[in-house]
Amino acid sequence: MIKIEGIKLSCISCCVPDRYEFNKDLPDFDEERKQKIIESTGVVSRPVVDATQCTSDLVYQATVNLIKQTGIDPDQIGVMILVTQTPDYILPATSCI
Amino acid sequence: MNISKLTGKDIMSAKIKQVEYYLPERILTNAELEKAYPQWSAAKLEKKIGIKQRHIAGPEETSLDLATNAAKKIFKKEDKDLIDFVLFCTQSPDYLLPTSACLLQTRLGLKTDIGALDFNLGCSGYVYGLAIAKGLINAQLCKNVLLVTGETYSKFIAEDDISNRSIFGDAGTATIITYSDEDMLGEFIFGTDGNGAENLIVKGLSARNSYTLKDQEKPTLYMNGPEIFNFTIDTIPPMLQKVIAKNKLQANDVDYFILHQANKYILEFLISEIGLDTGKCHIDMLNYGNTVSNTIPIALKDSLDQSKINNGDKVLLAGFGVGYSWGSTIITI
Repeated sequence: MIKIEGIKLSCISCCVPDRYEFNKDLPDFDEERKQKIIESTGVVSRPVVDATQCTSDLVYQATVNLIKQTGIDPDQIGVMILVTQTPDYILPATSCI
Repeated sequence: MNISKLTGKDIMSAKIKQVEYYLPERILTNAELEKAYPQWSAAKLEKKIGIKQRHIAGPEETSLDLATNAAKKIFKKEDKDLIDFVLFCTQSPDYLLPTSACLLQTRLGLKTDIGALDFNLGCSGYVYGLAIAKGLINAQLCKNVLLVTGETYSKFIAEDDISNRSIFGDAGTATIITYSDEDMLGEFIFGTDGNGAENLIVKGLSARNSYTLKDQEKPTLYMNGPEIFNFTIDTIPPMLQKVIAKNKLQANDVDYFILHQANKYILEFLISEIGLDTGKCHIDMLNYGNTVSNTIPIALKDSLDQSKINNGDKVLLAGFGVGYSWGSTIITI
């Protein structure tokens, strides 16, 4: 059995889509209501995928950035865990794609 | 590094404590298939793929229902309050979200101070579930893992798709993996190659298709049988050699082989290709069909009940398929 003394989180990389939606542009709300929403939620804008982008596109880009930043050899990766509730397909698993 | 921190006693190990399965009541026989597709012969079908009938979930019956029923069988014998982690392997969950494992926690009345998660793997899923359970227990994150598998591929299969209808069956299984003094779950081999993703896929109602269903009434399974066959015969023989070597065994030391019960044709091809003793290899999908991630736990339970495997036996488990994803381990009964 492999005995490992400790584990550390060595690097984090994130990716958000280029396109942003602004809460000030929310349709069907008057200015006062929109201002209230922005104040109460603390959210001014949100990155939103376009029709062609999926979860795998976002995590792929984040992973490419991660590899660049850390200089880690992709062959050193032993397991990939993809956490999502919006997979590309019902099956197969998005981590395989 | 502080070596004294770790002693033999600190390191927990894992073993399979119980396995149960549940099959839906409705049965689809080869005779029914022959009636629907007169060009197919029921007898020929059975001879070639080794399947006579498969259980099919009812219209209102889901993978969660099947897994729940399997787990309830286990909790007739085991204390459900000991479960401190739930792993649910399915590719046909009740919902996109929330997680089926969370729904299962409530269905079974498990404690709320436990972890629960789903993972999306098919024919390799049970082996991966054992690996995750072993990792959780060995890292002392929990002590008793409930690993369930549940699949209703039938809901993805088109009415006129005789070849997939003849192969796939629905089922649910439940396994308890618990801490142990001895390591009864051996070393694992894993494999992944997304180049094969297109050969076993459900495209409809997916994010990649903007959740649209073009001409189909429901999400539909596509399988490229010949490509899956080629993948299997290329990948599985070397995987079995690797897992035997990694467990520091010889092929003769393995008492029994439980490979994913894809169909009889492919299993017989694999067994003769590798040169395994047929008497040591499980081939039984006659009454179940290919139940995806359920085939290995069903085979394990049947083999235990029929005393094909007994205490102390080394049993090789190997899953392979959709993804592509494959994995193998050797367990001690």
